[in-house]
Amino acid sequence: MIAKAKQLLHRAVGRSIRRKLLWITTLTSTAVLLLACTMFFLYDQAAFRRSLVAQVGSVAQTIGHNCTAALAFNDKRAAERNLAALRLSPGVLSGAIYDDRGLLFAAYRQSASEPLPPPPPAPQRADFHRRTLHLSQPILLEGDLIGVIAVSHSLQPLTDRVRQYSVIALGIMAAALLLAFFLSLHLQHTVSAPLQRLAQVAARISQEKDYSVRAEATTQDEVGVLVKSLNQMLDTIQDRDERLMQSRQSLVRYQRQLRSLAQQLVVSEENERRQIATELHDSVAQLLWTARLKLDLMLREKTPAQPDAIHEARDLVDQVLSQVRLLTFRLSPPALYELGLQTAVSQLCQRARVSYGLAISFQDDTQGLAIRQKVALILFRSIQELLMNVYKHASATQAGVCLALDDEDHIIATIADDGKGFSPEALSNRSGGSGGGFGLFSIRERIDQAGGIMEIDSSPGNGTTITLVTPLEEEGTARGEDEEEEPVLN
Amino acid sequence: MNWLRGVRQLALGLLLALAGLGVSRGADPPLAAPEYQVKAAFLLNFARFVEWPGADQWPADRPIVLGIQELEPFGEALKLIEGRTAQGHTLQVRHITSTNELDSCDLLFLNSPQPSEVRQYLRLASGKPILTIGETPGFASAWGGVIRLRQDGEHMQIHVNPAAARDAGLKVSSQLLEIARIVGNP
Repeated sequence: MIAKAKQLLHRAVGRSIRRKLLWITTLTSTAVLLLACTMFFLYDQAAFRRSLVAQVGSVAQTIGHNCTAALAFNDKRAAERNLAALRLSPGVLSGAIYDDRGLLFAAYRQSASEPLPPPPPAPQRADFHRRTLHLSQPILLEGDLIGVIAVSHSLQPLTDRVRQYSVIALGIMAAALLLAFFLSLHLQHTVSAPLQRLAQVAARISQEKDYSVRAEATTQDEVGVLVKSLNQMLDTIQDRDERLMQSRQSLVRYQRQLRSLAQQLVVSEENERRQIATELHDSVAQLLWTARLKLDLMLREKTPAQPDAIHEARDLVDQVLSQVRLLTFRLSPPALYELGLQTAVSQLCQRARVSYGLAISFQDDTQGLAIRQKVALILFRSIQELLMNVYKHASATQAGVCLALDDEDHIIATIADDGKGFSPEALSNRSGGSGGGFGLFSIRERIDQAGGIMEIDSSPGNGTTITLVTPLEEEGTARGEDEEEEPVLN
Repeated sequence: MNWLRGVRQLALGLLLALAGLGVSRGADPPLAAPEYQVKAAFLLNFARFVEWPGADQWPADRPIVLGIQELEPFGEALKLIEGRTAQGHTLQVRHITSTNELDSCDLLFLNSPQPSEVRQYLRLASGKPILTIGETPGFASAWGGVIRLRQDGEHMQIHVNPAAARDAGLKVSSQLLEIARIVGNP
């Protein structure tokens, strides 16, 4: 029944909590009032019936007692005279005295058409019928039952009372319901208003996707807790949104840098080739051409070759060899593969001293440890690039390169100069492309790939120190999955 | 509702049983004339509606004695009232054969066919707390008897002489006076 009431309530009042509260209050009041009125009504009915029985019973008893002599001496007229006193009770419709054999002895009727009460089944009884109360009282003489008086009483007062009571109850109920309705109309605000405000905020958030909106907690109850929780959730969402946005921006920047790096790679490869081609053409080819001319000249003269001419040719060939060695080193330093990273870096520094005119010191604290080819290559190229940067951009007078090991199987390469320095923040914010910023970016990429990190310690006017920390063992290779045995440089 | 019917039957049975104890118990004996059955019942009831002087001082076991001159016409009817109670005392029926027995009686039914005998007894009883009852014409109105029974068709009339009752120190109930015919000098 309650489930059905809920269903009806749901259908009747729709989705507003305000209306639901109103309905619940009103329905509860109605139910309680109905129950109270019904119980009171039933109690009143029972009480009224009891009092009616007592009242009519006492009248019957009095009249019955007055009829004792009439019954004892068989005087029907006297009995009827006594019985006629019943007319003083307007509710009595008829009355009768039955003698000890159950025969009618005397009768009274309010109106001629009124039926007499039937002989009662027991001397003392009260039976409620639809419209009448049939009541009987024994008539005793010296303890002997000499007759019974039976009275038929109208139940009109009872009906009147029911009607009167119903009108009063309906009036009270209407007034109470009206009061309950208006009271709950005002009081339900304390419950529904915060909820409505919360619902509005929630709707705004879901429609406008604006997570900066906050609900206002006005109560300390469950709704207040709900508001606080919602606000906390919104804080979290907003914070996460911001962080997401930031990482997306840096991702976009990174992507752009990568794209430029790829382009730059193509360009620098092309530049490198052209430079080598130019050098081959300008120096090696020229020298070889000159050497050939000299040899042709010697063949054409048909005279034994002059030692000077042969020496000249040999010098030319020496120059070619020197050029080729230089080119070879630039293309792929043989020392790196043959003698190891430490020697290769040492040669690099030496060559830079000669080529760039820089005072470069080199310190090797690796105690001749053999380093994997991949790591060695990355470090060598990085150091080469960084030294090029020092030469090109730092305007430094002194520079130093150091190779060392830490306790956790990392090789640490430090390149320091006393040049003009730069701001690393300004550098990282540039989208890359040209200049040293791009070079640093590509170095960082390579070191990252090897599982290492690059640290830049620099500020304008204070020189630059760049530290490359690279693990000696590649992460994950310990398992040896599909990984080819890597050659080790020594 | 079977139990209700049962209760009703029981109640009806009880009513009939109680009715059997009433004055109508004399309906059964064959030898008694209906008239005398009624008279016997009336005699018992007179004892119930009349108060004797000092009766409230009577010990509980003191009987109320009803003296009767002629027992024969009653037949078995007297057995029905013998031993019944009136105002808390047992009714005792006694056959009166001599005037000496008068003083022991509280009620005296003077039904002798000889009026002289009736009058003699009446004279001796006057002034004493004895309720005298008779059937002779003039018994209450002229001779000084307290109550006279008079058969009037089917109805039994009661004549009461209040002055005679007062002389005897008897108090006749107002209910009895209400249904009785008042005779004699007030």
